[in-house]
Amino acid sequence: MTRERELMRVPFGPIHPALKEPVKLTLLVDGEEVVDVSIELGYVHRGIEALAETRNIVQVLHLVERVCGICSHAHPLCFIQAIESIGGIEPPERALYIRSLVAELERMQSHLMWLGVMSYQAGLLTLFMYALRVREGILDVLEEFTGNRVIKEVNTIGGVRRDLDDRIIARMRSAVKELRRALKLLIEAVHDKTLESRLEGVGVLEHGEAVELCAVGPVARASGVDFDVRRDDPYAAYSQLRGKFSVIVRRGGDALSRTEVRILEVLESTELVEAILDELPQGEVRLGKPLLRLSREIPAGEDVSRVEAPRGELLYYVRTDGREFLNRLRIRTPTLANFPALMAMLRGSELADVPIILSSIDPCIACAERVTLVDAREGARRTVRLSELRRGGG
Amino acid sequence: MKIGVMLRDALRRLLGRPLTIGYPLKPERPATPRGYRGMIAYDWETCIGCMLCLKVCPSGAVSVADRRKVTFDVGRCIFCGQCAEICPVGAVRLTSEFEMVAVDRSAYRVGPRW
Amino acid sequence: MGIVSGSRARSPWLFLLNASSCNGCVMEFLAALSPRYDVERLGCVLVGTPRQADVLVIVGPVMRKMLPMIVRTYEQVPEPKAVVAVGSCAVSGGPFVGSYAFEGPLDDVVPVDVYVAGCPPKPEAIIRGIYEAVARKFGRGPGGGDGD
Repeated sequence: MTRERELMRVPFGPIHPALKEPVKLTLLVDGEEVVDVSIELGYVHRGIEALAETRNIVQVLHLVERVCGICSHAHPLCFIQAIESIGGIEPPERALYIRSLVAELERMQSHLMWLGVMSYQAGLLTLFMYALRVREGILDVLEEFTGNRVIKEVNTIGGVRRDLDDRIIARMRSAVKELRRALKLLIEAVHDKTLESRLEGVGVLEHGEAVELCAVGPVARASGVDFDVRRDDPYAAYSQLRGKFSVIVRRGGDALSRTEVRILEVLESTELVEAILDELPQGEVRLGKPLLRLSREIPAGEDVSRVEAPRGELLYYVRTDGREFLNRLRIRTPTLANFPALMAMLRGSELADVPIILSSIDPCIACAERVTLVDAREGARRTVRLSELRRGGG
Repeated sequence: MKIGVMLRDALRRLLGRPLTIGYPLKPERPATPRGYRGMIAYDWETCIGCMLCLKVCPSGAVSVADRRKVTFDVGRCIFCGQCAEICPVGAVRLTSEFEMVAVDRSAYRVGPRW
Repeated sequence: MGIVSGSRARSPWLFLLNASSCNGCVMEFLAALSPRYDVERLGCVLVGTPRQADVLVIVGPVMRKMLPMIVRTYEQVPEPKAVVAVGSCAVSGGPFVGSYAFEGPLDDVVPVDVYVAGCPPKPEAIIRGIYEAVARKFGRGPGGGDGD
């Protein structure tokens, strides 16, 4: 006896308790199994790339800071690197170190936030509270140094806007030491049977798929792709810090591997922060020229710049017009690059695992609102505009 | 999560100083660091009307007022501090006041008073 | 004050609506739930659906595609309800005014009771905003004790 199996369409989002950001997934399910998925973006589309063409460089610098609130240092850093390379501006050494320092602090807080949200999805609220408690220590030093907990605003053309003094350096050292102690608790909490069995084997992304679908960041590294922009294409002060950190790679490709990669990356970042504070060179943190003159002197030109944001490789394409304005700004964010991989993970998974898988790639929908990904119905990997993404990808 | 680890942490938190800040039920206000980018303070008497802040403001929170002075709309401000940085006479400052709660948006205007 | 309205004021339930925010305010809102700030000590609980909520916390600028969802979510919150606009983007649009997708400040779309400016506001400020909104709308501040 054969029974007609009926496929059901389950909408997920845009406003959903498991999502802190609006995104709409339409899941095609056969019983409990997800057969296919389509992702609809655009709910957070703010037209930043078009807005950037109407504003001058100084204004755009602050605008791109608001592309994403979690990686709010990676975006302006990437943008300012492109601008500086067009203008042939060399920031002082100390400024480069400070940029790397803030980038690492940001990576720590972002990964801890992710751990919190992830365990919230897994139903482990204790770990959510632990992770957020630990994260506050990082936010405190960031607030003390940059003037805000979330939006850092440290970058400027030809350097950084604030200088570290001894008091803040001491506070950073103690905060990092504190964090390392607290991380032990978190690692112990993650390596627990309940959570492990919830995450293990969920949302598997094979190595081949990760390469083929151009996954980036911790998602790719958890599938055995050994790539990190910090090591392979150093920017800011990372070329001097090359021996100070290692790239965490896992082969499992499931949600548990991704969790491990992120937690160990926090540990690596604590090493990096201490190395940066040890080696911090003396001197100025920004060029002596007034900011508006610097921005006026930037000639017409174009450049591509990339950094390792907490979620993976972030890429900016900038074209200036030589009169303080931009002709074109193109942002390729890591979350967007990971969506094809996410769709591959979701296919064949169970319906109850969808929130876990979704949060395991650490989606930042606000970042990803650049293009509209349209449906890939039957058949694998037919996500539109992937060609466009590939062209920009490393 | 191992019960021993959890218990040890719970016990330490139970006996230690409470982590939670009592604000706003307790009267004491939490301290903000010196360099916090908060509420804008505008010294309109010092302002020379160069309008540089208008040029660099990324969100259009600065508008021209009478007699070559400017008005700041804190409700639109994104607290980047670029106006304070660019001001040649230091007439704009970001204070450490963080509690910008209002029931009416007109409370957010910071401008010259005469 | 009756039992129902008194209970509502003492324990307002929150729903977070992300209207095209950059996540900065969302993170600060989540931080307000964390042990350091712990908005739950005021009786506030984060709920998963607007139908159970008393206070609607809206973050982010109003953009075209989210506009119908914002209106629908607002309508789903049962009366009496309080709306808190958190962050400069929700208050006025912030840096996104002038974008082709921008649909005006939040108070053109839904009535807002309390504004909290900041980019993003500190968790203390968000808690203060929720507190003010509850006190204004439901007659007394949340939380136990005398709480002014």
